[in-house]
Amino acid sequence: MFKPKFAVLVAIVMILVVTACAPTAAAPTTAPVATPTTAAAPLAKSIVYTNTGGDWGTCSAKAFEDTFTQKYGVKVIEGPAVDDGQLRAMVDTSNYTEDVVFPSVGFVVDPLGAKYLEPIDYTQINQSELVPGTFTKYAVAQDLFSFAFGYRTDKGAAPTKWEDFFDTTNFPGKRGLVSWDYTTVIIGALLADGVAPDKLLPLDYNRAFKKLDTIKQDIVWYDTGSAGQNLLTTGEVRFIQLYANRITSSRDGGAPVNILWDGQIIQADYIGIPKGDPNKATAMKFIANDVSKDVNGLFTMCETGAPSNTKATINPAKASDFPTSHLDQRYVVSSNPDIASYVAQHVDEISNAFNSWKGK
Amino acid sequence: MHEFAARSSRTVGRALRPSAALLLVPGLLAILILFLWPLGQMVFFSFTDPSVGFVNYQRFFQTSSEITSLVTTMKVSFIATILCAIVGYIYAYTMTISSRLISRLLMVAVVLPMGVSILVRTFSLQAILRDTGLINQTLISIGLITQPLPLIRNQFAVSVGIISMELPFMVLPLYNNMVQINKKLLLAGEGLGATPLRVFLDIFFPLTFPGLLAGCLIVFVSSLGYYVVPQLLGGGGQLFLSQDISNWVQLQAEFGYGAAIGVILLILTLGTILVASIFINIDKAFSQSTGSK
Repeated sequence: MFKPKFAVLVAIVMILVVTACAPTAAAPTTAPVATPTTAAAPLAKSIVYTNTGGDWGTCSAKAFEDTFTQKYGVKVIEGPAVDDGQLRAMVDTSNYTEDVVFPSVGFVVDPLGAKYLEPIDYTQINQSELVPGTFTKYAVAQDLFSFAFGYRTDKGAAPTKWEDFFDTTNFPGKRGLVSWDYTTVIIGALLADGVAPDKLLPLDYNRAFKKLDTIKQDIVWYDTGSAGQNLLTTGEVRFIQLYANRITSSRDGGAPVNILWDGQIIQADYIGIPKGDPNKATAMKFIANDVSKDVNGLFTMCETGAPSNTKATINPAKASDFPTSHLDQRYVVSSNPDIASYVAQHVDEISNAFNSWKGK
Repeated sequence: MHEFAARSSRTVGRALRPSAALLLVPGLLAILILFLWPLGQMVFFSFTDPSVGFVNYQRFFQTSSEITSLVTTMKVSFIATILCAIVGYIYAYTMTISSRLISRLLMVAVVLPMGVSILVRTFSLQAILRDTGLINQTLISIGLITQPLPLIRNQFAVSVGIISMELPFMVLPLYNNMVQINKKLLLAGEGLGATPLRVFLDIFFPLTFPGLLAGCLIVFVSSLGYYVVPQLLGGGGQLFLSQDISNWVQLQAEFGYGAAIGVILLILTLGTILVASIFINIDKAFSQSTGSK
């Protein structure tokens, strides 16, 4: 009941945007757009980039949109979230409403990547500066986030290692897990069961379910970051595997919670260009700007999304809250091309096994 | 529900003059373009994407988690319908026997919440049902329980949610049905020496069947398509078909498969109405219960 209304609203906004832009685009401006670069293809006057607002959106506008507009004189229009279904519809119908989107992990590798995303032009990006495992043929991480171990400090002893998440004898209480991201849940269980981070493939999900069975009656499933944060701040769960920035912001907001980085599962916030997008040259420049070492760290000045560029300057005040500041402890980059490709190839098998196990 | 209401005025179909028929054209066109065309496209997709044939349907019926979804959807909807019927019957009966003022107030109380977004109402239920919510906190603070009762993120919570959203659609046909019952029949029963219980069981209750069946049908059929309620109150373990569809379409972009599940849900819904129509005269049930003659 909510989604269709929202879709209609989005459609109306889109129509308004298109009609509002049409006269400007049709205006006879034969003079080339003045840019400092000598690009082969002329840049578009504006591009649409997914920005869903909030603190996160304000920060990414400042870090990525403003710097791009300053450098290239191209206006950046903010568009609503595009899920994979909408991305596919965009490409299938050649009706491009956004130029830079955030595809999910399953879409940034073959075979879906080849069908729905433009390949990234790595002549414009210094690959050696990027965190390993955070770029693929079709997408690059704009920033990194992670699922970390959040816990209540008012419900008994503090955990010291990721294994404690599964130790119901010494740490009784409910545990929050993300309901749809089975890769994160399965990898988390395997890590706790003693599998080394570099030995995860092929994913032994049955072993993971056996481990998860030991806490099954205590699991509370959440579907969005805000729902997970709500579980933690209201104390409905004692432990939770949740987005690190949600845990640290709950802590900073005064809730009796803390974060443990051991066993964190890092994921890339991939950005890519819908296949066949008419503004792809400009969109490519936008992506290159996003991940360049001078720009990439700007995002850390206002948000706790970690930089994907290892040479980027990060905000010293928040240094300890970035997932990338804790790589001395056990971690997995679950969105790396190897794991992503493996999951993409086995998606039916794994999702069915996961849903069957969950439903038992 | 609106389609049923429109159908219930029986005279419309009987004597249509050409000019009157023309008046229907814009409406029919709107239905054709806005409803039938996308529906047709969805059915088409379910047989052609990713390849032509029954692949999507085979895949659905060969996947155990999908069957679980199907069973969960039907089971929870059915339980919710039965509970809704019990609550709704008592509610409607109370309205029938109470004074005009009380009955009006009860009517307002059941209808007014329909004006509030289902999303807002579901979130409010979350605040009431959760471990740190109103019910559990009250019971813990007065010392009746030490551990919170499992009131949320399970099928019980989903049933409560559905009942809370669907109660008006049970109460309205029942109430309409009850007020039309000839009170003299009940008096006659009493006059012949029947106890109040016998009067109720032998006379009143059978006469409320049309309203009860109509209410149950509406509630069951609309429960099958619930999305927001199981998403916010459910455990996430056993999905409703609508949640399953949204996962496949939005997260996996498998339009054909999502469409096929949609078609299965539609067949389930229409099938329920069809089966129900064998046992009850649907037109009559709706026209009697909604009060139009």
